[in-house]
Amino acid sequence: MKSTIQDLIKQSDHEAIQDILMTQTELSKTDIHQLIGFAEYNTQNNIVSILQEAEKGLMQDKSTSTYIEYSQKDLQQNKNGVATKLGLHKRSVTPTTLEKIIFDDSEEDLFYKEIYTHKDNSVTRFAFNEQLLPYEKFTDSKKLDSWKSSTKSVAAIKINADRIKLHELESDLLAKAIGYLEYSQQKTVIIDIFARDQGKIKDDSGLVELHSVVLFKSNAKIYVIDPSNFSFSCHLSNFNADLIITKYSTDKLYEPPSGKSEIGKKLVDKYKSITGSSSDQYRDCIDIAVKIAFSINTKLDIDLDNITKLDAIQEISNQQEINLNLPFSSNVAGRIKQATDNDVRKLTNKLLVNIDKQIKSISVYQDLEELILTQSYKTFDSLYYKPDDYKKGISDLLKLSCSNEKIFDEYKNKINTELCGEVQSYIEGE
Amino acid sequence: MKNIQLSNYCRWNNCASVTKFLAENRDIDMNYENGIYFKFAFKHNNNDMLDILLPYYYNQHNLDKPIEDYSLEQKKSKQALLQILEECVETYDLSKEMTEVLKKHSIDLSNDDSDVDELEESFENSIIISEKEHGSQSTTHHTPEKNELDDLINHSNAEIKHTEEVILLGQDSLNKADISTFDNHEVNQEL
Repeated sequence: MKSTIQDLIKQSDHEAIQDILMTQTELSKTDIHQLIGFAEYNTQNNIVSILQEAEKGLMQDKSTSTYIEYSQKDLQQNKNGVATKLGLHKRSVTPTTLEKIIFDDSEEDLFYKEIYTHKDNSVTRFAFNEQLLPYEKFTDSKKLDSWKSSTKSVAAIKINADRIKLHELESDLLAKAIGYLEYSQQKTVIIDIFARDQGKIKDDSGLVELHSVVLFKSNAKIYVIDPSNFSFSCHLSNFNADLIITKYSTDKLYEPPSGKSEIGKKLVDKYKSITGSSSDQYRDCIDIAVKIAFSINTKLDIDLDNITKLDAIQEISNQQEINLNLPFSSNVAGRIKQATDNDVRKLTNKLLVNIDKQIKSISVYQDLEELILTQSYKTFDSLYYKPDDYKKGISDLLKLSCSNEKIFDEYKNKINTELCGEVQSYIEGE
Repeated sequence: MKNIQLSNYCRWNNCASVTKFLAENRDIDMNYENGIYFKFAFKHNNNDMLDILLPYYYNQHNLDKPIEDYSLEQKKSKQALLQILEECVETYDLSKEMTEVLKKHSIDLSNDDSDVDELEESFENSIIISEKEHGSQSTTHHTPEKNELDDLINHSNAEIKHTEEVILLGQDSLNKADISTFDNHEVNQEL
């Protein structure tokens, strides 16, 4: 049924599609979403409208729903082992933020949805069921012949990305996500893509490596925001270059340390993974994508070329090259900086900016600089807080800020007193 | 703490402090955090800062001499620097002023991306970093591509041993097939 309609979309046969939709009973809501995405891809706007109407009809008939939902409680209790199968225990996102998981038909679906919510904010992740991906379908993926490992410019990245074909599963999932954006009136969704190396899908360990990105819809365009490196996902515009806008750059919004770094090795020794749920582990790309989506859900528009200047990105980024006011490098996990709660995140970042200004001012006095830096890094290096302890984290940063200020004031007073004494002696000596 | 201090001066785009600090400290690890000092210079498009950092690196590693006189250690140091600079050029637009500073220090990372076709052709020819030695004598050599550079610099002892043999054979004889089997693409690390 779905493929018949896809053929009719290609032929722009509105009437035939309408006839089928009026009588069909097989199509699920997800099928309709996917068809909307397919129609978008083929720039068939009239058919998009027809499908949206059909979607509304389906909404009214709840009996067509075959969804299987796992609530937060089900996931916490690992009902049917779903949480383990999906690797939720390895994730860094706060468990209470993941409200539910939805399979269209069964837990054996290749695609599923995760719904993340916090207060009145929500975002849906269109995910691959990683363990079930047909590994043999990826072995055809080849490195691009003429790919050069060094991508030295925006134009060079574009040339390489333009040659990467989306895998059929990527296209299907993307079509679903686009359809959902159309139907739900949501601004953002998160979508899984396949990680690639020189165009080849990474499948080194027998599993396909996944990566998650944010899609932001505005003015009939969909912008791709990559939480880590924009060059990883710029091939998505090959789906439909008029619809999907990607950024051709190597800008990194967020990156955990390398496994070869000192901190990376320590975390691998301790947890087997640099990213994870412990307070000293780093956040993963799904977690960061959720935070980005929450932060930009209220925006009407974004400028992808200047995305790094957005307040939300400045707050979430752990890259000093992106946030020039960040007083510590990515060697500090500092998860509190990317807290889900707006107030926590904004306060933390305000305090960090203030501390950086203090360090900058104090650097004029060389004999004081080392003391302040040492004290500040002692606090930064212990910025390990679970969400329940974020108030303590903020208090600790405030204490540091006050302590820096006090030390500086005392130092200035001491210098001033000494100067006064010297001047006094000079005047009296005269 | 010294690394953090210098990193801060570069991040704050404070050239005067960078100059003073480097004059007072001769033992700074310029490769700290994958060359963060250089990255800040590029981020700020500050050619003066780059012109302070590069001579410090050259002096520290004694690279101011013809490349054929380099020891193995010096070759590795130079390649580490080129790798850092390549990453900078990948991330930031290379201004005319920055290019001039690189040229002044005999480093050519130029890549005309104004014409896509021309750039595609330059891909075919690979990334060539031509270096002219300091002084009157000039030498140009083909510096390995980025993945090759990664391999040359960052690998385990066994791999380094292999690489050393390759270097000793001369860079033009680098066996790309061997090198391509190495797996070191941190820049592509997905989350």
